[in-house]
Amino acid sequence: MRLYRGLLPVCWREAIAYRGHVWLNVLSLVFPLLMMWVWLAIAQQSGGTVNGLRPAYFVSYYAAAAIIAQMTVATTPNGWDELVRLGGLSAHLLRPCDPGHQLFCAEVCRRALAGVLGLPLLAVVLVASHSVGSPGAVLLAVPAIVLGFVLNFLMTSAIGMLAFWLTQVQRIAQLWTGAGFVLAGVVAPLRTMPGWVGALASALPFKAIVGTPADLLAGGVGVEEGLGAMASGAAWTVLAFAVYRVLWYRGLRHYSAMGA
Amino acid sequence: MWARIGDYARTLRAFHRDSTAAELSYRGNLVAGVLLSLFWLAWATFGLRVFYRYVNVLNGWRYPEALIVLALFFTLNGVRQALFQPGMQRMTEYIRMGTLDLFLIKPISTQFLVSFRYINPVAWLDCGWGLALGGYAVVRTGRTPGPTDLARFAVLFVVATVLLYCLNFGLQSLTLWTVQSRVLNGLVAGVMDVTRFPTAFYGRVASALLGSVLPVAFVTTIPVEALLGRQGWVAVGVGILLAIAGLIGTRALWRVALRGYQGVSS
Repeated sequence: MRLYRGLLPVCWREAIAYRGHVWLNVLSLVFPLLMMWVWLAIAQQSGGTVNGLRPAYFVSYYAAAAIIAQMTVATTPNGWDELVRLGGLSAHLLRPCDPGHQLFCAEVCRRALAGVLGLPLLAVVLVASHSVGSPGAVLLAVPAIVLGFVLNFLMTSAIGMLAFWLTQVQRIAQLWTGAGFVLAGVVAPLRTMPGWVGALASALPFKAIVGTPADLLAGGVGVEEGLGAMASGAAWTVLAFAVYRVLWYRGLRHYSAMGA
Repeated sequence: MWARIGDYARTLRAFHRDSTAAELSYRGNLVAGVLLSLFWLAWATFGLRVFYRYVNVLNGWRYPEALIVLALFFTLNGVRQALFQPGMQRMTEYIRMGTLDLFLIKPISTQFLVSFRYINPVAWLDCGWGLALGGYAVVRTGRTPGPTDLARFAVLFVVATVLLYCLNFGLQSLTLWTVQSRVLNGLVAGVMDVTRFPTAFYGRVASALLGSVLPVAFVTTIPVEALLGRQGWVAVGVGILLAIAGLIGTRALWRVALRGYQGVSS
């Protein structure tokens, strides 16, 4: 705990110092905005609704998905990749704490900053579009976002561990996020996709990262369904943590940078 | 003049060889790059397909026609990532580390060096997949493009490539003032993303703006319309003028930016 009291303020200041990068996050909103726009055109052409979904739902869903994606994304593999490839890990190993804590704090602060900037914007969109989940669902969205972040962090950490054997893991990590892109519901709401995609998404961890919290906010799923999806997300979180730790201890034994 | 061009071509080949060798040294990463490129193509196609689960024609575009636009987006994005993006991404470093100062004293165009010193050969795969998908989509439309359509398309393809280079290089020049090339690269990628679909998808107002104020339509929509026989020589002429204006404009911007550049060592 004391460790986190020391780390968090430092990481927070670091996140603020690089606020220029926030513009990068703003630019990553272009894609969801485009998708939303096209859905609105489709709704207009097919007489108001698509598959029973109102245009307002699409506005809410994409706004929520775009902001939540920014709050749950994790750049951890890049961090591990650099630590292992450039040997920075050696210095970290001399310290009394696991470098994972520092990566976690840095990521938490960056995501919190995205949240601080994005959530007020999202609130405005949700209120203006009139497509919001029930109060219970909106409340549930808060732990759902936190769960999504922790799950994604641990999953990407496990992938980051591959750096011990492969050195360059950035693309493998991208492949993983890429797979998640469709199945997490970033590209389109899962309910607009063919049934088999929905079934696949329910079986895999990605949906809990963006789709579930976004649908809770936009009124796509109720509390009960949301809790079910979160339970499976929690199970994946435990699994990801276990894999990450096992790979970490094995990787350390394998690690042989200059001077280690 | 021709000897000069030959020199540049040889230099470009050397840069390409150098970058390829660097790429090949990380095998796992290379395999992931190949898979990744196929994967992006698959999900982009899937995203488009989802739209057409609900409509047959979207603002005048049938599925195979929109698929050609997507394929061209992939091809051009591959060209951008292979040739233009590496320079853009390194621009901050060039300035911060003083590499730009070294470039300035070399007996070769500095614009050429900052643009093409590094190349990302894996992105050629995207071009390959994109062209394959495009060929398939053209067959699916059930209409064979005539020789004039193909000629117009070919010219407009070159125009689109030049316009993308201008966008990228123009923003790269701005790095000399802002020193934040990551954000600017994101901006290029953002504009590129818009070209994923025909501009008509975004409604009448947006599509009119994208055709005139920001010539985004010239990247994918208008070349594909030419291929489908919906654009005449006028569009080709306007495209060529735009490309020439873009080249002259960005060249001028680069010169102005360099004049204000102090160097790290002086």
